[in-house]
Amino acid sequence: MFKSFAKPQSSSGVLTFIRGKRISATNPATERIVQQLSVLAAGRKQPKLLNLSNEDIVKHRTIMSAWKLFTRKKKRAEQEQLNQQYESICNAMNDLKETSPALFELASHKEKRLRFPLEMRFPTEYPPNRPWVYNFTGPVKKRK
Amino acid sequence: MLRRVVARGSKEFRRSNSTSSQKVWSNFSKRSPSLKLSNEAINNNLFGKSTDGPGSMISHSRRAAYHSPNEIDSTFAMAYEILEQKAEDLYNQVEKLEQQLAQTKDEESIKQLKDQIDTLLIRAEIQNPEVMYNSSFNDPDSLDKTQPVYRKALEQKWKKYDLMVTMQRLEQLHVIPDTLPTLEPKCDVKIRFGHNSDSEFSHWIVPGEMLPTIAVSQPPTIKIQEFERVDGKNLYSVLLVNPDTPDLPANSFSTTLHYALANVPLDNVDNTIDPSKLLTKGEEYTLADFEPLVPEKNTPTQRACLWVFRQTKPLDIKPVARKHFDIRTFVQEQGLIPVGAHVWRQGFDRSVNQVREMYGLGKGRVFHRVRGIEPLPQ
Amino acid sequence: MSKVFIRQFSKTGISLKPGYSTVHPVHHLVKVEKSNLKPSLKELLVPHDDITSIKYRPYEIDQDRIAEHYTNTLKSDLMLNLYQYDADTIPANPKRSWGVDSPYKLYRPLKKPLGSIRTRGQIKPVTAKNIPEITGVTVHSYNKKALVEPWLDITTRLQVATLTNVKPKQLFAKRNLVEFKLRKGKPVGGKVELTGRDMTQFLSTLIELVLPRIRTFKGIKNSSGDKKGNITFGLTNEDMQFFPEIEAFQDLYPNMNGLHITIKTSASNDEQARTLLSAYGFPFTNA
Repeated sequence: MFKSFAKPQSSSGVLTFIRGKRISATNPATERIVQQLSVLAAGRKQPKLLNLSNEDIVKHRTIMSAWKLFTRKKKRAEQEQLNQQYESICNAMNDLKETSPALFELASHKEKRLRFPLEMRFPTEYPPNRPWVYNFTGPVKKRK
Repeated sequence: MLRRVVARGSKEFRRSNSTSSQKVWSNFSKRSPSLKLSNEAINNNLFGKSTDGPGSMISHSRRAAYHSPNEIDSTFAMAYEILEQKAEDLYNQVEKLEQQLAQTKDEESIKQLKDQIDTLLIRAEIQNPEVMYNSSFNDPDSLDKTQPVYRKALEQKWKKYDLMVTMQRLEQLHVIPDTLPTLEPKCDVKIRFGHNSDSEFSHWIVPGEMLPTIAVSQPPTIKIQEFERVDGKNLYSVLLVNPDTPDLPANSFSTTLHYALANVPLDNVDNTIDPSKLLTKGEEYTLADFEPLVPEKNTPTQRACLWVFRQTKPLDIKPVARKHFDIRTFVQEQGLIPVGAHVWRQGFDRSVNQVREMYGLGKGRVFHRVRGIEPLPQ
Repeated sequence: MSKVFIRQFSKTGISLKPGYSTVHPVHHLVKVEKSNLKPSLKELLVPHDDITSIKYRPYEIDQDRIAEHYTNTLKSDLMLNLYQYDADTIPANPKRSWGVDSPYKLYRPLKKPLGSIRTRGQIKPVTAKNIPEITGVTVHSYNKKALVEPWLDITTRLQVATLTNVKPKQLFAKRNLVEFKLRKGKPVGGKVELTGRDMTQFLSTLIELVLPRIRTFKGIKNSSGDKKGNITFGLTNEDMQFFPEIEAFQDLYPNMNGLHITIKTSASNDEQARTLLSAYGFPFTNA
């Protein structure tokens, strides 16, 4: 807040005092830490508040409420689809139990450690050079 | 996908009021014209009909310097379409309910149906940009209170600030429980003393304010804003009491009635008891004429507590004793429901004697500055 | 002291009486928010998602590829894979009472859960409504060297902030340990709790750019987890250089510190959480 006072400087044996002169951080390492601290501090780095006109505020609110409605509908549809999928899983298992107990056993067998293949990737904006590996065999397991 | 729809919207979107195949928000054949944004310049800017800049900015230089965010108009057009579609669905539901309402005879179910319609109408209009603009930037007094959506907006605004001020002051000044045990506020009660020409006292009074006697020497204008739907007219009563009248024999205070109105018919729009109404129909409404609080010298500050009640039945207009007025028994006997309250405070000041003369109240007592336990001369 | 309000004409005011202090009753049913009545707080009280608020920050500014992949593909796959025919809810394994037959047992700390040290919540069968998902990520960096060199704390926090785009909370040493020169209350690093966009951004960096390039990284241990579906693993200070935020400016960060990354999921046990993480591309290992 306040400038630290400069130490009296002696040149040719006469002390000269310069009021208000800032003493610089002596050490480059210290300077770096001060800089890092200022990067972390949030003050003055906040973006300015957008000064929108009344019409644009109303437009923005309208857009946001429409977007909320849109996403809500989308989420509801997704959940609906999942519910249907779950129902058909249950139905299939019930059918299988009645028609073929052996297959039912196979279907209800759970792996102890269920893992997705490591080759699975998140889709990117552009497809890879080889979009689909047709003769994919999976990782080779070592056998003891 | 979004981008594609935006591009489509920007070209097609031009809202017009003349075509016959109108969407619901631009169709004013059934909807009230008060749901429209009346300012032409703002309306044009909102719907992208003009390129003059925002009409809400009066200054030409500010308007010229202003830049809207990129693509806001085309995105707004698409958003408008989505929301209007939703509103249309809701209006279709309203139409069905209205058909049902026409056939219903039972009063209870009529009320239920009307409430349902109101909630649907609020949902259908609250996201309408024009309504949103009116309720957030226009003068609240100019809003059409017959529309449930505007009443809802006003109620939200009231609950956020005015209600809290009122309740805080009522509690801090012990208006509750000194006069009535509690209050469940239902409507916004505002008062002002219109006879004041001094700008210091002519505004709407903030609850708990200290006022000089001359500023309250005439009956106040009382505004009772209901937020619920009022079918026909409701009857209201108003009581102004002072629970701080010195009661020397009991070494205590008693309550005095200063003003009582009853059977005042009000609704959502006609919501003010003002001098013009009192001049024409004052006789019918008045139980006790207005008599301002005139605190005597060296008495403690006195509270003027104004209570507003909804009536369950019309009251008999007969004179009521002012002194030792028991407000709790009165309210219970007459079946009044407290819906709002207001309070201001008064002390002795140089205008008291003048007001006493005006109302013929005689000269007031002067108490000793230091209150003690010795019996006072009667 | 208790306050008694005396209201007589000869004497009004508060008189204090010895005794317990009492809270005065409130006579109305409206909650008065005092902050609403302060004009100076008007700006701050605007909801943060309103554009007129000074705290407004747009967050849905781009496509969230990770979250979209989860909803479009992984969610239904997980539901199918975690489906169990006729599964019942497995009850929770809480701490047990010592009994009530002796007064000595009444205030005794509760007994450990049956067959375990840690408690476990109930495990519900996975249906369409409770498919496991990642709810948050905690990035925690505790720099032991900061106890000796206090400036390292600042560097560590800056490093966490750079990696996650969120300002970290300060961590403090919790107790005195003389042999480690540890004093209670010394600042020793930072941690952030990530959700939403920041979380998916951090996860995608981790999965696609950082973990594949760490040669020593075999995978997350299969034994990791807190029994409630939260998986933790660590990265050493040598691994930090693979983060693209740091990679290009390595000379600016000469003192890197490792991270503890906890991935919090809504799964009810660790095995389900591991299955979920493997769907995100995290490798698991027994070693």
